[in-house]
Amino acid sequence: MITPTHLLRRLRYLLGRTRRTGAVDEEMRFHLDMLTAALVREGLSPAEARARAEREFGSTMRVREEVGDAHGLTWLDDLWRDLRFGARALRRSAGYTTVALLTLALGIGGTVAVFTVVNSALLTPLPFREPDRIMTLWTAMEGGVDRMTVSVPNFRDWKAQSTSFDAMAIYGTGFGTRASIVGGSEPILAAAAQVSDEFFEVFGVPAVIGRAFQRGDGFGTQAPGMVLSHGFWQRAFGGDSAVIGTRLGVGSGRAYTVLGIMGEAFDFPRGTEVWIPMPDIQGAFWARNGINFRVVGRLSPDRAIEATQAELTVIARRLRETYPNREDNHADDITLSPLSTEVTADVQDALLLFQGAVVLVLLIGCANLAGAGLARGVVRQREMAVRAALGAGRRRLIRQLLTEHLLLGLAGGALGIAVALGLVRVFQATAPANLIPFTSLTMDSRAIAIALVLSVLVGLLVGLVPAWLGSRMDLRSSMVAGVGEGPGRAITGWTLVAAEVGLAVVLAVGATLLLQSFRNVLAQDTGVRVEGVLTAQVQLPGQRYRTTADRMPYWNTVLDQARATPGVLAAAAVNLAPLSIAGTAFLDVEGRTEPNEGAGFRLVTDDYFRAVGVRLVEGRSFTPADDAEHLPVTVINQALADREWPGESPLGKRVRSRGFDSQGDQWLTVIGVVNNIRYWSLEAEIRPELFVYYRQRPERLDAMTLVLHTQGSPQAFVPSLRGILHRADPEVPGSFSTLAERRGETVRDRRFIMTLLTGFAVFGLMLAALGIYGVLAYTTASRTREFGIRMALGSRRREVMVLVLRRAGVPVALGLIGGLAGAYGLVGLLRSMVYGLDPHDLRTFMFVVPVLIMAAAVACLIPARRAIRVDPIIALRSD
Amino acid sequence: MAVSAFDLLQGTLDLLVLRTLFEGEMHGWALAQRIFDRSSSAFQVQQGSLYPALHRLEDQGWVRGSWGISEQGRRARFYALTAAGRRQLVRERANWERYVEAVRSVLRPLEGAAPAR
Repeated sequence: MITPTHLLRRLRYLLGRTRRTGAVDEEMRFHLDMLTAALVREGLSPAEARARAEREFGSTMRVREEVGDAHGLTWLDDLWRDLRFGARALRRSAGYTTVALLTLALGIGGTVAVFTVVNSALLTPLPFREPDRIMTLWTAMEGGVDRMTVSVPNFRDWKAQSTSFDAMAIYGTGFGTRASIVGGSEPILAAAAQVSDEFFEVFGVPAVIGRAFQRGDGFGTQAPGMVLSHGFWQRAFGGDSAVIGTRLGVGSGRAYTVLGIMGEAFDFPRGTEVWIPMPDIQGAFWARNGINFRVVGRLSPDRAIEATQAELTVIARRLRETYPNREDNHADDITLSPLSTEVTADVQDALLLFQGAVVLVLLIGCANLAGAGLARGVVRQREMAVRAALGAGRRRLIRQLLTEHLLLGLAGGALGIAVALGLVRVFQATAPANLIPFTSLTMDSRAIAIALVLSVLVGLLVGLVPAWLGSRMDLRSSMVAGVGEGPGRAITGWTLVAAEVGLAVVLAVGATLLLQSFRNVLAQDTGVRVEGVLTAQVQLPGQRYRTTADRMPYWNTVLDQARATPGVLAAAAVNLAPLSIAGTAFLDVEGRTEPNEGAGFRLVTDDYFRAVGVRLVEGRSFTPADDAEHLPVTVINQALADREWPGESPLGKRVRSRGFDSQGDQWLTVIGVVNNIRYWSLEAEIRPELFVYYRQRPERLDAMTLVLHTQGSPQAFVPSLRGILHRADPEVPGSFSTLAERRGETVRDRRFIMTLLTGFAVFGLMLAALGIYGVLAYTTASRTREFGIRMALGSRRREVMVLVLRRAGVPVALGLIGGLAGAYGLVGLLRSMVYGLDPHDLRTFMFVVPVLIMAAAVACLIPARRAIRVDPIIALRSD
Repeated sequence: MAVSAFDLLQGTLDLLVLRTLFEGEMHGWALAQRIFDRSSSAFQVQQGSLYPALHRLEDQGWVRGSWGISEQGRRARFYALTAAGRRQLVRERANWERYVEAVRSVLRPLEGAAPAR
């Protein structure tokens, strides 16, 4: 079968095979007739001649086969035959086949679904042009802090002095506050990002309608434009392309011309709905030490990362020499990092955890099927024996059984792909936004290939055990009915059980760790009252509220009316609400020269602490007497007091904060200390903060969050508050939430991961229990006779039950020990996701043991009871 | 009919078939008869070996089979040597000669030679 023409000839033969079999028969018949005729010529009678000819002729079938072999591709023939036989066998044992297909569909489907997400998030390049050339730049400071945000003047200098970038851009998201867009009847709140002119060039993604920003469009242009996201365009304008060229008012009151709409796939920074140009204004926020923004850049094609990093370090040093004062210029160095790393860092651990867990579930499922295959193999033993007697060698039998299971695997895989498609859709609908990758979730060729490979591997894995055992047998004993058990089968079955138990234990330990971590996180003290607090983010448009005289009355009116509303126990406003974004400002402590890590800066109105349930620990809180004419004061939190003045009272000490504070040079005197409040999330570290009174900083009152402490459910007060806001200024909307909701949001990711992993663990445990049940049922069934004899000889039921359970107990115990050991070795991988406990804490492992024993006990229940219900007479009679 | 006293090796059968077909196209029965005659009744090829051999040769491309009418007017499959088959015949013939010569040279000292010391 070497030459191609030869192969072609054989294939052609195969195609016309049925025709040719007839032809061979005809050829044989001709020969037979000639032989008969020759015999007649030698003197035999026609009948005798015929008989003799046929006897001498021998088996035509054999000839036909050999002729077929000469022309055909035997292995292809055999494969086809095996497949047909396998399909028939699977159809016959419909029960096993159904369960197997279900298990495989779920197992393979789950694995492929998770892989699709992993593929999208970690293996597929970001949906930008040449994404590996896109870098992020960070401010690095001495002392190990290497990923701080960047200030505008520093960005400008870096950009001017570096020659390694084709494009560099700076952007900010206003710390998550939404801008109100005015264009239609009602103002709409949208997530806005302020970007410099080269922003879209860095990503290399064009607008789908109109255009995005180009060079010259950013930093305080005369006729500023804005770019809309696809989602916002649909949401606010119903996809009407006439919106291009119209002018929309944004937050500060300026009007921007809509330049274009981005495509659906472009979502950077995450969740942005409108992109507006970076303003060119002065002020603390925008100073060289106002590190409030992020920078991205596109490396030139001929530049390497290491060389660029070196260049940036040189630039940073040069700037340090020009601006040596650390309070003015915070950057000691610049950190360069590829965007792809930044994006995947958070998500990587969770996704890999899912992938590992789902593979474990698949393995448990396979072990189950292999065990079921054992029991099924017993039933087919006689059939195998007959085949062997007819001449099938052992290898042939193994091949046959493997082909059958391969067919099963492939069918399961095909179903699995359908299941995976559904699961991916479910994931997209239910997963928290952070876990959904940038690149859209599609099942590409890689996922299909994985499905195929899994199908084949699983089929072979599941088929190997029954194939091996089924082909090895003593012919004679197998053909005698009643013999269904060899010690080989039982041991194999129990080994599978031990393996399943071990894998289930690993999953259970992981799930328990995450469950406990979740509980620990929820138990964290937020420092504020979580129930009964309504929040509303409000942004005053700059055009009409330009001065303090414009702003102050607005807040005072709104707060007075809110306080007057029945059911509202306290009302206040703050610049950054608890359990949300937190910024860090730079802090100077009077009398100290060493730089410190800064503190959070909060601007609050009267009653703030009362509204959110923060306790005063020392000193006093703000009063209306603390206005611009009097001593500038601040209240600090416990963490700041402990850090700066451990062991002594901070009252009377002075601090000031540049970068955030509009009057950053002014020293503030500490008048009180309050307990700590959590920001960002329940898991983040407590940050030191200082609170400043709004009457002393009226110029900062452009965007605040109202907090209302309500009696009863805060949701009920939304309409009243909305009414108050509308009456104060109909063009200023509010974005409503509650502290309880915010707390839920901060744990959303963790909750999802925990739920999913627990789901896997429970499913795995169920499968393992099923496996135990299956093997135990099968082994006890084959020992019915033995139990009958024992009971006839006087064994009590309890003794028989102990026998049964003991047989099961050994592999379960072994699996448990093995699983715990394995889990102990693997939990280190979960370190980043565990909170509030050491992953190697033995208590977790101790918790899993009784759970598993209970599951195993339940699984053993039915077969054990069946064993003791055996009637000895019937058992002895059955054979 | 005399039963074949020798067991024909498969390779040898191929050679005999090719050589016989060199004389012309014929069907399987005629081929068996011709080999029987030319071997002085030594080789009686059974159809169990003949047809597999013929089809093997056909698969290799050395022989071509086609349907035709026999002398008796019956439909029969006739086999003819192909050009490639002719070349194979030459090759196999040469191999066979070499084989025979080699056996002969090993056997020769035994005939009429003095026994070894």
